Amino acid sequence: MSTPPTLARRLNEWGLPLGIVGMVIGFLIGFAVGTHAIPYSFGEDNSLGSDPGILLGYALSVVGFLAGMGFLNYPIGRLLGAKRPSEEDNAYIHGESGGLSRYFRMTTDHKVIGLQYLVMILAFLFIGGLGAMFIRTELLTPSPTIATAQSYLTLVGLHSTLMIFMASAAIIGPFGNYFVPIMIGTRNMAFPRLEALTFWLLPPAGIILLSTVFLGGFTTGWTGYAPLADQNVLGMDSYLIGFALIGISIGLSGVNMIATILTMRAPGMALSRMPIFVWSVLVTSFLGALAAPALIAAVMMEVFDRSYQTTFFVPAGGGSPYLWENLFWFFGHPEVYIFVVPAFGLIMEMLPVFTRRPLWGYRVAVGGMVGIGLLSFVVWQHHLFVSGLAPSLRPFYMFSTELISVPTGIIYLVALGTLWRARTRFTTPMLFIFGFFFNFLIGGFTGVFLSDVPSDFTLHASYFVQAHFHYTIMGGEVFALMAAIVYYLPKMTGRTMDIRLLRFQFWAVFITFNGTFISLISVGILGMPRRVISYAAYLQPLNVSATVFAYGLGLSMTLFLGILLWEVFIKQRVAAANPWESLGVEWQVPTPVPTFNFDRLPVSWSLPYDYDTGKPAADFGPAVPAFSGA
Amino acid sequence: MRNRATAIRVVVIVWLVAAVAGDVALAFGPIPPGQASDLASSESLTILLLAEIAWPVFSAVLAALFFTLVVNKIAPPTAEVSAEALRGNTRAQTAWIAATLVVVLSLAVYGTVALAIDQPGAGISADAAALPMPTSTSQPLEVQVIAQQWWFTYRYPSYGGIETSQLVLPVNQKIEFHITSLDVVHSFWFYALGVKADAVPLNDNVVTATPTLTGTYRIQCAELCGLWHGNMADNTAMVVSSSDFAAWMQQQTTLDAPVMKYLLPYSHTYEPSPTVYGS
Amino acid sequence: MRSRSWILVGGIVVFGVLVGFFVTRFLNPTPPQIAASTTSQTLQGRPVVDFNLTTVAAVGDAGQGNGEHPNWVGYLPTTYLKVPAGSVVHMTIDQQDGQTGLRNEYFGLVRGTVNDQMTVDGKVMGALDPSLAAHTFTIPDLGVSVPLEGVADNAPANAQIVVQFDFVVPDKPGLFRWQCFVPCAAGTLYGNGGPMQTLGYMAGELQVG
Repeated sequence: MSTPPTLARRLNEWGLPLGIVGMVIGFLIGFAVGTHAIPYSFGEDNSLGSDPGILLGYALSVVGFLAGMGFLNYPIGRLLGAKRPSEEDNAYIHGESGGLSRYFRMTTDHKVIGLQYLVMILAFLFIGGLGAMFIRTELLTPSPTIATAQSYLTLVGLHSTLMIFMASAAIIGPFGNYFVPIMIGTRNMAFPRLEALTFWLLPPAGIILLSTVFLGGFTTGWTGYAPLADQNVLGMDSYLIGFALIGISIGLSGVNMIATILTMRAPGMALSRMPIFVWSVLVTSFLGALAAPALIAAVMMEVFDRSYQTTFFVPAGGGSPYLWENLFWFFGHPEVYIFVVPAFGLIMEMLPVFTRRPLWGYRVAVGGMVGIGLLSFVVWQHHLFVSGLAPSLRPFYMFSTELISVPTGIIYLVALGTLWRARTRFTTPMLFIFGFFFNFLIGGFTGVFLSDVPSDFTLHASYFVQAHFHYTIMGGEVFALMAAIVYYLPKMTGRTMDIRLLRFQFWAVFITFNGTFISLISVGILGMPRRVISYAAYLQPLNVSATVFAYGLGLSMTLFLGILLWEVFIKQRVAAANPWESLGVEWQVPTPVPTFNFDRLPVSWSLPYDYDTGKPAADFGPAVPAFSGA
Repeated sequence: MRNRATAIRVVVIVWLVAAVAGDVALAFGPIPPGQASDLASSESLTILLLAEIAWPVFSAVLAALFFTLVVNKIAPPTAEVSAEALRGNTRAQTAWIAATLVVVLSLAVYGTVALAIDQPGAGISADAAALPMPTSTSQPLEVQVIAQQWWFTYRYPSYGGIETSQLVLPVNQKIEFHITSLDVVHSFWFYALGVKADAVPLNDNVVTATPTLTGTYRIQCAELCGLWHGNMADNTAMVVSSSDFAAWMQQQTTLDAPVMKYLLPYSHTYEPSPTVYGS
Repeated sequence: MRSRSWILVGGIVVFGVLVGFFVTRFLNPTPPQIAASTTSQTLQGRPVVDFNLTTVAAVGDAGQGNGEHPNWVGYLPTTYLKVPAGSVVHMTIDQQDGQTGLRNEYFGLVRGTVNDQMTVDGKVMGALDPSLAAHTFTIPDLGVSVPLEGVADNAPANAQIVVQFDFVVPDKPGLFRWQCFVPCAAGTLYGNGGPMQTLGYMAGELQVG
């Protein structure tokens, strides 16, 4: 920087420490105001504080965190009459000075945000996974051993909620944010500061959620069903605020992506020439933007129920537990498609690269994903088949839920068509892709059993449901995440990973994953309900088998993380510029990607799948060197 | 290309054998939830049918995926064939979508018909009065399941509204379960009878089933309801002959005598008291 | 390179902290149990053991409890009980809490005790008026349920009602949970939150053998 650092730059530079300070101060102010200034007429005594105190404390802690990070600097500065930030200040905030420190502050470069998301997603995945290891250890015996009935329920709630946080942004966070602007030929997202905000909501959400253990935990699991949620001790507030933050993050990121994809495509980049991954992100963003408000509304009602004795969900006061269930699942069902549709898109993006031929049925694939998106809003009652609600509507929802398997099947059709008679290259990402297809097939078919009402009477709320969603989310989305990390690591960090170790790790994770969840499918069919610490003795052998495989699964996932960290930080094996020989535009730009993605805006866009003719996806003009800049 | 055609034939034959073998094995195996009631038998049949349809389709897709893997080794495509611009074959797409639609539609129709015939769960009951004592086994015997934190209790309105903490049912008698809760949402799961219904406070959830096999079974709560959710299960639910049932009812009436004058009159839902927020 | 290695080391430290977090917060060593005191009596051929519990409106008042929730109702000294297998437990409960009333009147019935009776301040009864109940001592898996009469509103301070009953425990060792069925957690929804769902207050475990 040629000029001395300005206040704006200093504040941004010290964002994270200031953010932590802001979080603490915000919490203390909110807690004090909530406990003392707001009348709290509940008779319940909790020596740790009152609900309004904790809730306001959390809310203000998030505001304090964001203020410290620097999100309010521009508006407040302008209100106080400061000039607009200079070019240099903007460049600094955009992370143009380079270096590792830009990952620890509010940076508006979408590539930096993508990597920040990746780290946060992996953090949620492994902390939640640690919780899963404890759960499976407890379930080795039919009665409580290492945990008590109380701590077990909080353990289950933490594992599942952390995994939901992880899954809601696993593909779209790191890879959507990093690659969508590049793929559509633009320099940044439509709202860069908003994008930074959607990321920086995640760390406070995680911290707030984990702080539940200091407030007594929560006993509702991640679904937070209503009257029980009203009854819980203070720890429930952590879940509510944490989940609300994630909902806000999902909604805002959806809006941002929609605006970017619909308005900022390069000239000549028609919607019909967009890579399939960008289509999947577009569909997902609509789901996020439209579904998240239902969650936020439900959480707000629950917050008022807990703090002010409103009775939204209490029947004796005129409310209904069904209200929470409907609102939650109205969000919850599109949410699971938010998990999985970007995974579909990414898998279909990678298939042409490894089969060296165009994506078979691009239009029908797009139609399939749009169909999934539309249908996902009219299936949520299948979570409520046994609730006693509207039995005359069950046939309709059974039909709509079964119908959603048709567009999902289209994805398999497209994959088979692309693989048919292709000279497939068996790279490591391809292994994970096959794993994805195998696992998601099982996940999808178990879903059909659950969508049919008579069979759902037996299978609902049992471990069969658990195995179903673990097969689709973990076997599907997390396998796609691993494939994407292996595939895109050379682009995002310039490093590559050891192939033999990765292949070993793939087989380890694939075998242990299937061993664990086939055991759990069986245990569910035999009648074990979810979220229980004690179960019938005859189910013990299958539970032991699931636990043993689960330990293996935990070890293989840790191995993946270990390989990743080792290669990126220690070994630092440099990757080739385009190791997979992809025609995608994201691979034609140099590594590291220039600050504004393109030195010259490409023209003559086409679908990046012309492996038969080798036609490039866009014309970059005169050749740009492979490694531009240190 | 001869190798390729043989490979395809082998895969198709292996798939056919596996599909038939799997379907036959399924038809013999015990299918959950078993045959202990008419509802359970119908659910078993539905699960069996779904499995019979799912297994061949599942194995076909797997076989196709596997085939694309393996054929690379047996008969690697030449560069020209591999690079064929298969940009989408409308016929194949239409055929696939049509086939999956047909399967889905037939499953939905079957499921709807099964629901209509069984009427397993009439859902929230609109009636206010309890059913009279049945005069024949096809008339339903009303049994109320009261879920509370954290145990199930049962009331038999046609036997004077006595309440018990163990569920005993007469075999071959149509039972109409009225399930409600006194506090939070629970779920009554009688696995062997194929009965699962959420117990929602101030709501009456109705399920009908006829037990057909005597025995001792397990009942558990299937909706997270708080600390002791996992312990809200017992292995002492019994289906007995009608004479045993009458004897048991006699015994329960004697046992319940001291508390009968305090029990609330039977109703399908109960307002929680003491006050909602404790005292 | 250097800074990256530090990041890796930092990551491992964070991992260690997280494992420690889970281990200390979720895994519980066996909490202190109180064992029944043996007597020389036998009933139905089984040895009789004694237990004495007190129920209070606020655990902090009696100067006990670990200080976390002094205003919560609770069984004192603790709810983790240990009895020898195959014995008859003679339980004496000093009930000092006020009347709340049962949500399900059925729990006014004395069940699972010897002769299905309890002795309340010397009087033998088979059932209690549900509106007078302060708490219950219920072990659902053993079918034992005894309602505990509450102290009347106009009674003098430090009044208590002594409830005594005997119940048989199984011959095989096992862990059984027990709870109160009166919604006595004032201020929580349906009176079943807080102490009702926290081990050590109104929720407990009976270790047999």
